[in-house]
Amino acid sequence: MSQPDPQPDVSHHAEPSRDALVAALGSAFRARLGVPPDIEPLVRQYGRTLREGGMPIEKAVVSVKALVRSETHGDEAVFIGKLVGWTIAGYFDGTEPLSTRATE
Amino acid sequence: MSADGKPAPAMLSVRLGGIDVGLPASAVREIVRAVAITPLPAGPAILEGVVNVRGTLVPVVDVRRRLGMAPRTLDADEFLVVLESGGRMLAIRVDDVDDLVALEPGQARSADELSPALRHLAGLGALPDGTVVIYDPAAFVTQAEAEAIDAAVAAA
Repeated sequence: MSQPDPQPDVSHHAEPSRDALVAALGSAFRARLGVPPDIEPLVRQYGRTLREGGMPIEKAVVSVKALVRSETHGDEAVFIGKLVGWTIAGYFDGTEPLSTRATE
Repeated sequence: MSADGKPAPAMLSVRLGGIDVGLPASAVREIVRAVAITPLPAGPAILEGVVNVRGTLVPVVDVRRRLGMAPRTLDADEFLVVLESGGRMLAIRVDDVDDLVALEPGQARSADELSPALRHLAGLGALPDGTVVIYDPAAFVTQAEAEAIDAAVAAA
């Protein structure tokens, strides 16, 4: 019997939403005007896509933080607090409560 | 995963009034964007009001007041973290959500291990960039306040 992949490769599944988020983050970083509101739906979509691809929430948070670090060139403190919240919100939007999933 | 095979306890790290605060992820039900809070005149002082989360009226507790922080006007940039405590739902306003981390053995110490005086804390979490106080959501309201909140929400 084959075992499920413990770390499913979600990179392909998440690629379109990741690309959109990368572009938006790059624009926001260059504009130097903080976190623009139109980035929120992109982050939520990215979180949702990662869940649908089978990524655990902890790794989804790590993933978005890595993305922020790479795209904002050290200016991550401005973005992390909002993007992590929206990622978690998007990841669990329409699912069971976080409390039943976070420690799975 | 901890040594005894149980999943490591997870903590939601949030920013509140400029400090890092930990919340047990097991108590977190939802994270939503801050929305207008409807005040309830009959509620206790600790109650900011209620919000409608997917059709349910959830009381918003003024956790800044409870923790002795300066008040802050509601900002659309904030988050509402919906928590479950003692069978009740409550929401708190936070500035940012920084992380969701699984605390490995040695990274977390329960309040019981530290001091009986800290019974309202869930414990302390040691993270690479510092120590975070993990609050038990039950510490945000007293029993009397919880009952007054229940009554105010029921009358709304």
